[in-house]
Amino acid sequence: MVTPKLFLTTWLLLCSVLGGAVATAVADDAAQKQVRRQAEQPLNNAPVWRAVRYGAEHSTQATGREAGVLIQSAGETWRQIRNGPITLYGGLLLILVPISIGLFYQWKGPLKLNGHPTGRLVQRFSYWERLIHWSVAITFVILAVTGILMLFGRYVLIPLIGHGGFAWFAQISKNVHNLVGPLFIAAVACMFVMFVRDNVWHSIDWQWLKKAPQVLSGKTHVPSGKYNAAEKGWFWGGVALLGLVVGISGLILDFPNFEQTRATMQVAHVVHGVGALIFVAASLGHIYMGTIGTEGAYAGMRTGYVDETWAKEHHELWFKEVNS
Amino acid sequence: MARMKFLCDAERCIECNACVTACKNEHEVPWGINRRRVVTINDGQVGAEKSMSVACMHCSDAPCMAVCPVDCFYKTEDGVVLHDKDLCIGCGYCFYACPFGAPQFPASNASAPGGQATDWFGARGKMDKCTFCAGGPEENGSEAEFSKYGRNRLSEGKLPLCAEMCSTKALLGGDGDVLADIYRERVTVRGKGAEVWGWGTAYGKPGQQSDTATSDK
Amino acid sequence: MSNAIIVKRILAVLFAASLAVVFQTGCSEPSQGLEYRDGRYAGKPDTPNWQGDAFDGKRNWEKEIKRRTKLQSEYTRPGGA
Ligand code: SF4
Ligand code: SF4
Repeated sequence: MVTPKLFLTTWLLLCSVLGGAVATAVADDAAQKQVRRQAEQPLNNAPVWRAVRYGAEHSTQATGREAGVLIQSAGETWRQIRNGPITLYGGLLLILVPISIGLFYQWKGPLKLNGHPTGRLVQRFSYWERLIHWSVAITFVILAVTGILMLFGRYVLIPLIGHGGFAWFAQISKNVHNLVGPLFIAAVACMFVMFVRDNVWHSIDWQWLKKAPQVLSGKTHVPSGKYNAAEKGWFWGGVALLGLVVGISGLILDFPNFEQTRATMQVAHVVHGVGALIFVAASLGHIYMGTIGTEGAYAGMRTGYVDETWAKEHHELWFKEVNS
Repeated sequence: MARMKFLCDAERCIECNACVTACKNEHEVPWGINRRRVVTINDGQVGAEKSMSVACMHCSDAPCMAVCPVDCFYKTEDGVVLHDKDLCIGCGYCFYACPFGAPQFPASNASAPGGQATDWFGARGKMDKCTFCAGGPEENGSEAEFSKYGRNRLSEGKLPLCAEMCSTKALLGGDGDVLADIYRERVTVRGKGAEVWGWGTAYGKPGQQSDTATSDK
Repeated sequence: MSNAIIVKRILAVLFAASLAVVFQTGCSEPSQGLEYRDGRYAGKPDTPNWQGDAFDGKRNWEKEIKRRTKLQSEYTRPGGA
């Protein structure tokens, strides 16, 4: 029942953006209506109040953004989306995902090497690749923590540390979030350029995908290039797509100096919130696979080198390529 | 128990902007912020022009209060919606949510004369809005309260200056029940036009909240 | 599978369920009540308007506010038109 409502409200928000353009035309028409109404029924202002509802800019001596708008109804819609589904489902996502990852870990344990490490190392990531990866990772974590603090702190932290204590955290969070955001976007852009070559989708990736459950539970290995299908999925769906969505919507909110209207920022906020929550939840999966979930993966990104056995088992095609 | 409300009568407002000026003067409101503003609809069109003075309406189910991430708003016993500037982080959410465009920010209104150098990063200062002349958390009538929120007239037994000084009595402020009586009487004399603009949005449908409104529009 | 693991898993599920419940109730919008308790409105300190030197308690303050609200009606303004 909630999903159709969500769609409807999002749709309404979008309409309100477009509505601004139509509103001017409507307002002129309404003026004519009011003139006629005034003659027929003095003191009946219904056409004026109806026109006001469209949220058009009327004249005013006050300066400031949208000062001529008498009333905007989209704010209430935005409130219901933010305080409703985004907070509720976003919060559930952030609780349930780590729990399921934990349960999975308990159940299956980490992916172990089948063979013995040879002790011979191959370079998997160059210095620059690691630098970019960790720049993205660190800025991402900072943004995730500060963002989560600002969305859920009111419910979780205020009861614990009081209004004053939380406001102090939130103030820092807001400023850090606003400053680190553009850095994250820059790092993601570098990452895209640097990693895209090895993330091009190949036909063998379909095979990996088909056997994904067995691969993830450590039953089998499917040969793959430098990155397997899951890693490519994270690259395209996460880094590229969600990075773009969260980045653009974030810039709209971060730099309100271009006379963006409230309607624009409400839409940007909803997009940013939904995108970021999915991004964070998905990143937990990536972090799990890159640390405790796969033996030897973390050392690979940390030092840049992996054992030959690891390379052969996880990324056979890449290993062959490197060795040839 | 008094329930504070504002009421603006579109038949009477002559767009003199005296309420705007009085408010700025009484509270020494910073540059670029108008706690109250007058909006003219169908400006210059004979027979269709209407003006409305609008500020924070001190909503019954206030959207600003609901979305503030640091929960800095509070509602007094008289139904006045106030906020604590020491807690505010300047996120702008209240501005997105408010139907009446009441919350404003010192630095984000870069289009105003005197915009500051920090404006390029879009940093907002502490939110400022109409307090129904009821100050803030600081001690009533203190210097600290005045510098952050302006005069606390309510604690002196006075009503908002904008309403009290309105020459045509288009803008009324005070106990909602009394305002409704005044307006009803006015409508009876006039014989027509019972709508009270903004009350439906700000105070809910009659009977829905504990508040009463003559009619809503 | 050992008993300890089963117990652990049941605990984990219970923990998840309780978190979800806490979340559902905790994250609904708090009421916007007007209660004034211990010098605070919903956790934020303020002094009520009627507290101070000017008025002798709430009754008097309310009477004065009502009087002034009524002054805004030019039909009934005492001594007015
Ligand atoms: S008018 Fe705006 S600022 Fe005032 S209480 Fe309502 S939502 Fe809040
Ligand atoms: S700008 Fe201040 S008052 Fe407004 S929602 Fe943000 S923290 Fe709350």
